[in-house]
Amino acid sequence: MGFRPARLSYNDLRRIAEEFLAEFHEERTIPVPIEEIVEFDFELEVIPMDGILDELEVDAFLTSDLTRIYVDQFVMEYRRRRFRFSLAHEIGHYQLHRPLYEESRIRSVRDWEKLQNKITEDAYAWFEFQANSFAGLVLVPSAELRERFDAGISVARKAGMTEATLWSEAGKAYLANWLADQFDASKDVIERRLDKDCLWTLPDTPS
Amino acid sequence: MPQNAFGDLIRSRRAELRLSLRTFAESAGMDPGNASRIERGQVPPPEAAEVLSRIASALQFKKKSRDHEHFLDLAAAVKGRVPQDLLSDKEVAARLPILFRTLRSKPLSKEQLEKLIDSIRKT
Repeated sequence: MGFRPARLSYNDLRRIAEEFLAEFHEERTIPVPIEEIVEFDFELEVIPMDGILDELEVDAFLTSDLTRIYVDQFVMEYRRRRFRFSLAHEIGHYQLHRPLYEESRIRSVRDWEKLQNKITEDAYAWFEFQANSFAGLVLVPSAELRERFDAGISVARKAGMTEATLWSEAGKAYLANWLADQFDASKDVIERRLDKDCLWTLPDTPS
Repeated sequence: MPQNAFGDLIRSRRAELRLSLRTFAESAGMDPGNASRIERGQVPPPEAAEVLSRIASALQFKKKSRDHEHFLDLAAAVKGRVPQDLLSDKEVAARLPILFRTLRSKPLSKEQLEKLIDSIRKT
């Protein structure tokens, strides 16, 4: 039998991410302290590993016994935002896909190979979509995004940005960079979150 | 005394302070890989007094306090202990990932799997 994740919509994932934040970060400060949550609330050991990005093209992974996250050492040391996203992604697997880990009972490399054959590409796409969405929603929560988005617009206006520029692609890039600093997340993650929360809807006025 | 008393002390102090491995390593002036190996007892505590002092300071142990003395005593006591044996196959299997895709969304090749197992053993 193949392994399949539950089909969860983006709104389902938003609810799960909000529950996660309510339980592990009720202070709701930004940036979300994902490293501390992973290490001290989930008690997962974060282990830097040399060269996994170069040699295996992987940033990080959660171990089958759910006790460790191995992470590429270069990413951890020099790409902090990517590192934070990787941790949030792996904790997404922990939260959303724990039954798969618990049922897999890997005791040998052969067991691991057998399990890999049971996970279809379609299932993988869902697993990854869910963990990526969860990571974005945890690091860039909806209410805080809305609030900071409004603050960012004010900052841009005060800095002298015209309405026409503000609502152009250039304005979006400016705002996404500003928000990336606020949330300590990459500009790409911010842009995806802005799109998903429909915050980047152009007003009718400027042309 | 437990095999990894020095590493356990670092880990528990970090937990007390909620000081992540990355932040701890940064403030102790070490690379995170080395900090992690010391904490897991894969390498002995550093011998240089200056390095030990940076670690103690990152862990907010006040100089000449009892905690600071205990930290230095443990470093001296654990020094030179032989690290644990290599991982068994079962232990390696426990450390393998389940959901794991390369950046290009490809499963691991046989060769990559062998590299991964080798890295897990070495790390």
